[in-house]
Amino acid sequence: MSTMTVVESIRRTLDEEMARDERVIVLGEDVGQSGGVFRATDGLQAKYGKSRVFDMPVSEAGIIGTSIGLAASGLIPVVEMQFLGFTQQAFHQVGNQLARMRYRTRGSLTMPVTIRAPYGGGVRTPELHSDAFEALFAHSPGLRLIAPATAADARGMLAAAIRDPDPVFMLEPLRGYRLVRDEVPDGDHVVPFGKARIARAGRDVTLIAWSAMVQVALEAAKLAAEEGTDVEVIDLRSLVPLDTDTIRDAVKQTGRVVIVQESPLSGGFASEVAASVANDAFLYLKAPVCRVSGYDTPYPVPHLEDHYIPDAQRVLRGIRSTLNF
Amino acid sequence: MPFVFNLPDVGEGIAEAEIVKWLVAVGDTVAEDQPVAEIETGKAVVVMPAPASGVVAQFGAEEGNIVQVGELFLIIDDGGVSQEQGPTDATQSKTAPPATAPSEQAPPLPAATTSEQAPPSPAATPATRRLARELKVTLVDVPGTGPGGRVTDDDVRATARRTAESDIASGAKAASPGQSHILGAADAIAERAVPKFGHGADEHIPVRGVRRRTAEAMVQAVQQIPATTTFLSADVSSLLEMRKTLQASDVAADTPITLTPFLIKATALALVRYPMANSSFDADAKEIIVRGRRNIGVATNTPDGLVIPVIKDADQKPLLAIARELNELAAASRVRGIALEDLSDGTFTITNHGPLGGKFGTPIIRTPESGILGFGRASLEPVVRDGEIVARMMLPISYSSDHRIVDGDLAIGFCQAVIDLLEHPIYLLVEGR
Repeated sequence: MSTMTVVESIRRTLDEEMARDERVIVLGEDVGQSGGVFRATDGLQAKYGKSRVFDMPVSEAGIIGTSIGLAASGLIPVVEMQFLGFTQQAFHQVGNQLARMRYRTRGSLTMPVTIRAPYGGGVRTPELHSDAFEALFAHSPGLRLIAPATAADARGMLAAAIRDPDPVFMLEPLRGYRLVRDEVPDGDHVVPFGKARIARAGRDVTLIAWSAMVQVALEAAKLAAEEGTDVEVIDLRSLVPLDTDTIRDAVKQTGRVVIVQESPLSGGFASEVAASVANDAFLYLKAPVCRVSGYDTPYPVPHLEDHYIPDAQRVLRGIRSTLNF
Repeated sequence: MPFVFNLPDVGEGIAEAEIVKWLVAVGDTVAEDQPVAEIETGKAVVVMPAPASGVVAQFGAEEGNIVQVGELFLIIDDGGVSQEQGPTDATQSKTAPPATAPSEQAPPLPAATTSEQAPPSPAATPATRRLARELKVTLVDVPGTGPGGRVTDDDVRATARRTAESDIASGAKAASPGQSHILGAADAIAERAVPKFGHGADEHIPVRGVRRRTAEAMVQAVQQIPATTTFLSADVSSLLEMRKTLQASDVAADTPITLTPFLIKATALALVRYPMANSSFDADAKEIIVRGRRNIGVATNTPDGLVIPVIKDADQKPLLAIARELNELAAASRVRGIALEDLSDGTFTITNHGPLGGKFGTPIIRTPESGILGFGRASLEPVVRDGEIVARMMLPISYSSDHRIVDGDLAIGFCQAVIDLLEHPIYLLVEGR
């Protein structure tokens, strides 16, 4: 065990996976010499050479398109998107090419491509750098979508993603890159997809979150505990596939659900989670499913961020409304 | 496509029916309008025709079971789906949820008509609904104490406790007033627990069909109608003489004439004299509805229980016609073959318990009517006539009436009219038509 930040954990995993399998390559904007905008690929080019770690032009569609070709010819590309918001440029390549290549070729061609993208706000970036549009990718069949919240999961899930023959989109908690620090297992550590994590046990209300919102949820659970409310926190960590079993079992216990997401409310992934609750645990609900989320507006300018991103107080209000229904 | 046939209301606002007999089997080919089942609606056995041609794919219930109006009655596969797919596949149509349970009896299908007829479901969270289902509590019976009158878990548990503790009397009282009459009364019978002793000697007889309908109607009537009963006697010596003469004549050779046709006629004519006695109290509309026809229901004992055939426009029919009609309807009732229309549209009821030996009684009014006349057994009694004690055949009369409409003067007046007609039977021949 060693304690490290999320970004350190990712860097270590990339290093280990490149060492483990020489087909693994890293590409993206500034990933080579400068080591990535968040230093997630720092030192990799020096260690593995320019043929395995290389910079790409500022063309997200080109980066993904290139990765598709490289994967088709036998390599295992790990792409860094500097910010999730930029991926809109590459959405055609992701949604129309990468995600459906296996289906399109009747299974003869898989796409072992991993796309890493930091997402969400909280660090006062300019426009388009903080968007949290995970639902776009959750809605693209053929793509796995994972969103670890801890350094341990970042390592285990990135390893699983790189070793998976299908395309995996990994959302990384931009705000948590250096803020979140936890113990990461040594040795071979793989976290399978489709298994949620109980981040905190509790009996009264179930909080469901992923990525950076898990920390907010835990903070809110602490505040609620001071009011005598025992809050359970589920870290989904894998959106596609979704661990509906864990969600159902949790709701059966508590009967009250608050889902926290950073993205705009309408059509967000929280709605999908809410639907699964309604479907699987309807008769156990004691209150309507509550969603605490960003607003249906473009991501705001930096000095309004704190009002936009759900914080512990807003989540606490959601918990109270669910309790007092 | 499978034709999903939910039980319709076959007449007069019934809520449920018992499947007496399936006349076809699953797999049989049926033609439209071919009889497929006998169902008992609580009043009569009705033959249900097939709504479409095709192959019988599934029954909604087995013989002896009760189907609610709007629930699945029958599925007929009209050829769109091959027969090999069997009944389970047939249920997986758009209108039916897939059958998950392997039981032969399909889960009841929600139908649009059900929601129209059922009382609105009270507010409750899904978890509370699950609790109610587990505790076998009907939510409409539960007074809600939560926010905005919502039914809470505690309310459901309290109701379940009360149900377990209550006897039939308190059970009847607990039926909530907002429900339809039939539901309220049915709940009073079906939902309240009776202590079971378990010493092995008890026999448990399901309350079905006519007995069930009777029980419901009685509970409903007693709950809703503030009734009083008036007791009087009529001297029917002359009437019995006249009947004897009639019986001996050729006129009635083919029709046995009992006392009942006279009672029907006398009642109908008395109602002409006292129209307010032939009325209904509509509490919702705050109205008294005075009936324009004198349709006399006659309580008739059958092997299955009490059935009430109705002699329509009895004030306008000759005695002999009433006698014939009564004989026919009574015979049909006894074999459960009476048509629903002959049981409908009664405005007043009489019950002649004389043949059984009873004297006075307290007849229970049939809702929504306002009165019922009970006739006991006529017997020779000492009566004072012109200062002399004479022996006369006296007929005991018990008149129960709805005090919301019928006050004492009207009750006595109406009874005196009946007595007047019975004591002067010639009026029975000349009044009316």
